[in-house]
Amino acid sequence: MGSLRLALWLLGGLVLACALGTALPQDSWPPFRQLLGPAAPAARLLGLNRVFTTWWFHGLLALLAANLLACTGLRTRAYLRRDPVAAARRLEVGEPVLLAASHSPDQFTAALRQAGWRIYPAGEQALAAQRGRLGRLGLLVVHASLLVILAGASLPYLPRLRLGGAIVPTPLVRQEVMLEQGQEMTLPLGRGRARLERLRVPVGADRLPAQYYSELSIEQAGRLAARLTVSVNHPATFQGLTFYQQSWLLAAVPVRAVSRGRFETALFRPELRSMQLLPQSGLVLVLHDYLPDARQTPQGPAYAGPVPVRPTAWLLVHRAGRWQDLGWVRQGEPVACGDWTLILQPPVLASGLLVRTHPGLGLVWAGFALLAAGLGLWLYVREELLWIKRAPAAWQCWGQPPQAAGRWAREVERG
Amino acid sequence: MAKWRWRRLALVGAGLVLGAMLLLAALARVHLVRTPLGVLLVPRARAGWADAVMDVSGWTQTDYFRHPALMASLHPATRQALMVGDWSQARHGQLTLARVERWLLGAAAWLFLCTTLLTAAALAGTGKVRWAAAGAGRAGLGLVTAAVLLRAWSAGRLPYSSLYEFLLLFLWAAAGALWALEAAARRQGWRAEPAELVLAPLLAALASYGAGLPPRLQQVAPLVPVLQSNWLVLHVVTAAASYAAAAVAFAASAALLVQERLQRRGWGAGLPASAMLDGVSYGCIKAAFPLLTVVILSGAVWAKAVSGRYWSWDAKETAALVTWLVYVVYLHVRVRSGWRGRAPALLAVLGFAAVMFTFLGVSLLPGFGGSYHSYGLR
Repeated sequence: MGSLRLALWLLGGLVLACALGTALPQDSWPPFRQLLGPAAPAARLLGLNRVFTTWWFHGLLALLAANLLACTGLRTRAYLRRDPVAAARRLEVGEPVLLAASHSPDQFTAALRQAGWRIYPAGEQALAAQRGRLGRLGLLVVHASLLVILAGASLPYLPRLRLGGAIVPTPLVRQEVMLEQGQEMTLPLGRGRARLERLRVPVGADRLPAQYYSELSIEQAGRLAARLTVSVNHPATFQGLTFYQQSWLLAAVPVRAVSRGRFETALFRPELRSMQLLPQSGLVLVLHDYLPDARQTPQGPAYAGPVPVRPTAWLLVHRAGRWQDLGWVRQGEPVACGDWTLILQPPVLASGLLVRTHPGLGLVWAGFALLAAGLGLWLYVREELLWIKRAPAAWQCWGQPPQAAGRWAREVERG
Repeated sequence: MAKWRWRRLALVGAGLVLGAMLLLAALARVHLVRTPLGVLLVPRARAGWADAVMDVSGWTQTDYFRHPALMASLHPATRQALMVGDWSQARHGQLTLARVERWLLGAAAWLFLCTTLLTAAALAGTGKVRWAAAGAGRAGLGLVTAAVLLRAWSAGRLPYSSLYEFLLLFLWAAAGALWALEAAARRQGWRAEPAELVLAPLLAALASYGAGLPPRLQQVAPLVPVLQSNWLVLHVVTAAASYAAAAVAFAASAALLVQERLQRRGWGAGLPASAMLDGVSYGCIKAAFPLLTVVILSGAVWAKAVSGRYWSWDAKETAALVTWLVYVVYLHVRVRSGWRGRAPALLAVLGFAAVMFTFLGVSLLPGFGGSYHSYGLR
């Protein structure tokens, strides 16, 4: 199970599966059918329209994980049981590098130690030396790190494990909500209630949103427990729940009708040309057009951007049996309509939030750190081994890699 | 002596490139106004560099209406667009920094083409031809550096937010790698021309592709909120570096494959030993692989901060994973099984094909518009 040959076959299979999953349209039947034509139903049976969720793809991943596990186990055992003297003795093939017989073993030992080598004496007439042993550990660490990442990533999807609070601190929760300003939601796992106090959308140089900030307050048992600010790329965490800023939108455009201390409000969806009846005043209002950010042109207001900076609405009103075109009305600007005055109010913004838990997060982070360390060790810390043996006329030296012996011999001669 | 002369020439060349860059930057800070007396340069006093590219030259719509000379300077279609209030149309027909970059990239493409021809000549030629090839390559690197600096200056940040900007970084890193390869070969006394002969035309192709992209894709755009992340900077910079290292590995491996075939037919005397090219390829993949790993990990961390998910099997993510897996196979067969020469070289070529598919090919797939990585093409 831990063989390199199997690993290469599995990696090849994974590459093929990933390539198919990339090239073929996934999770969408019409384009898949259009691309594959009559072969589409057969390909669908194989799950090629949803490669990454098929049983065989998960099986491939599981096999690779088992192969990694076995390989890691085998190599760990080999690493722990390795005898440096025996390994160095096996280097005794091919042409050795020769050193003057006048050098004493003590001289070698002192010089090797000074250069960071670890000495393993092998009797009076031979010695082994090793340097960079950690480099041999690198590949092991890389394999182990991949297993740790895989474990961390799959932990939330496994059946509920009874492994103790340290490993499964919270169950997997994923909740997407669209909260209007002032609206509340009940948090999962009994973590209280969250209220969207404010959504800020600063505008950029191109009149598009530069960022969106949701200011949340969280209440537990009637008391304020925390205030959080969430923005895109900057999630916030509260008692194991992480809040992500996903989107924002204009939820409603209010138009208020005021007359001698009385008032009533019509709420419009900005994307719909809808009609609203105001019962007290008897007015029928139509939001004909709405520009969240209007710029003035010779032809009148024109769209400048989606962020409500200079909101302007085109209103029509039905009063006393006839329609009246009020034209473009700016936010806060009163428009007389008989006894009533109409005022366009600031729009109601809504924030799209994702609330979720991350069981296994610690494992994934640990895996990332291990992977970085393992790659550094594997690729850049090189294990070197020397076998130095006395012959009648000279000292003979073999190295792994072969250049190590020559380099070492030159250092000794210089010394 | 000759060496010093060439070095002096290279320094003068670099100085000229820098001077040209500054001049072009200064030109981009002014507005060219056509009048009956000729072309006037009007200082652009109102806007920052980013605005210069986004909104023509920093003049506001009111400025155009107030100054008839300014209005007259516009292309008729732009003037018409401005009159009806469609400011976005007014971006066309003006001197923009993106146009200067296009020119720099076009010139760099020609220089890399010259490098290719001179390197081919240097295989059979003298040391002077080799120096000329190296000089052309360095001049190309200078122009690409100028384009990158200009873009960074105009955007006010590193160029990392779109396909074109990534192409600039990748090209810069790859041109730097060509220079490093040539310098290392010269210092260590071996011939890198076969690898350069593959890398230089690749650079020429990339530069001409960058120069030929539609202006819409070359414009500086402010970062949308999702792109405002330090993880993205790490993600893109390491991607450019790893792709450049993979490009050199590809060049050495392709050269090795061609060279072996030539040598089997009795040609190719005097070419470097195959083991040398194999070593270059392995060394570059040893650099590219950890960087690719950082690319994938930083992308995963960034995706988690944005959407709460590390991995979503997005087309580009999956293609990057495939690239990583190909290099995993390469390293396993080379390090564990001790393969050398032709077979690992074929894997290195396959790995670079996967790199180029991840970079450009994925964008051609149906449904890429919905990908997380389609910012540069929107």
